[in-house]
Amino acid sequence: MSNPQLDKALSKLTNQSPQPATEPFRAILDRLVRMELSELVATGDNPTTAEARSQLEQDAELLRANLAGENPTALEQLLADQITTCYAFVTMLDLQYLAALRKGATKELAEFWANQSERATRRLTRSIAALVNVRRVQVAAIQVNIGDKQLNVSS
Amino acid sequence: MAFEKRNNRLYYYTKKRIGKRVVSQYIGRGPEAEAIIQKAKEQRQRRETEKRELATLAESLAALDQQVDNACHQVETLVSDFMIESGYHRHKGEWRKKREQPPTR
Repeated sequence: MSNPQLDKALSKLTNQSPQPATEPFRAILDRLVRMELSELVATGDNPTTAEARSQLEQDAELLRANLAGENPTALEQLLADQITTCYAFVTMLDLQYLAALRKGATKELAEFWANQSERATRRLTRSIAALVNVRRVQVAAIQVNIGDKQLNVSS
Repeated sequence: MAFEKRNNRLYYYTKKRIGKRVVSQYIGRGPEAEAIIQKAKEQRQRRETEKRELATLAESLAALDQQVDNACHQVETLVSDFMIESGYHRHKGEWRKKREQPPTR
């Protein structure tokens, strides 16, 4: 990236503590572990809150690492964090929607959860599309110079 | 829904609007009517409780949703800047590479 303003903004966001997606991710985890734990994680029949939280954090870390890939750029890392947070949010909403349906939710309540879930899923899809776009641009920018000649390996 | 006194007796009627007219509909009298009133009252209370619960739920979720939205917005702005810097532009929500102009003669 050659734009100093963009570099500065990216560096500011990357060095920000906590990262933009960290706070909401923690809040989502807090809500998730308060839910019916046995439905969430496969750590036995009655996992404790700490076990469930640890399991969920491990799962999220694995997802984040898979999304970021090897040697991710700062922007890819930020997007991987964002996707993980959005995914956790969608999971939380879907589980609450399901729990409400099981308890025989009213039409209004079912509609409420369905709308929330739909909105969160749209945001997740947008985040994934952003990562795909960034990757596509980065691959397009790769070029190899052999001597004085420029060889584009991908366009 | 209300009791109406007719010929010195109490009868239970509901009111319904049909077009421009409001029509009274007879429901019953005595203990039967009272049971119906009680049932309607319970239903109304249940609906109000559910409405309140839903409002509380929506409020608690809105704060979290806003947090996620803010985080996404920050990164999306950066992604947008990055794409524009890389020579892309948005066309109907889709990022497209700007065409290179052919050299003028």
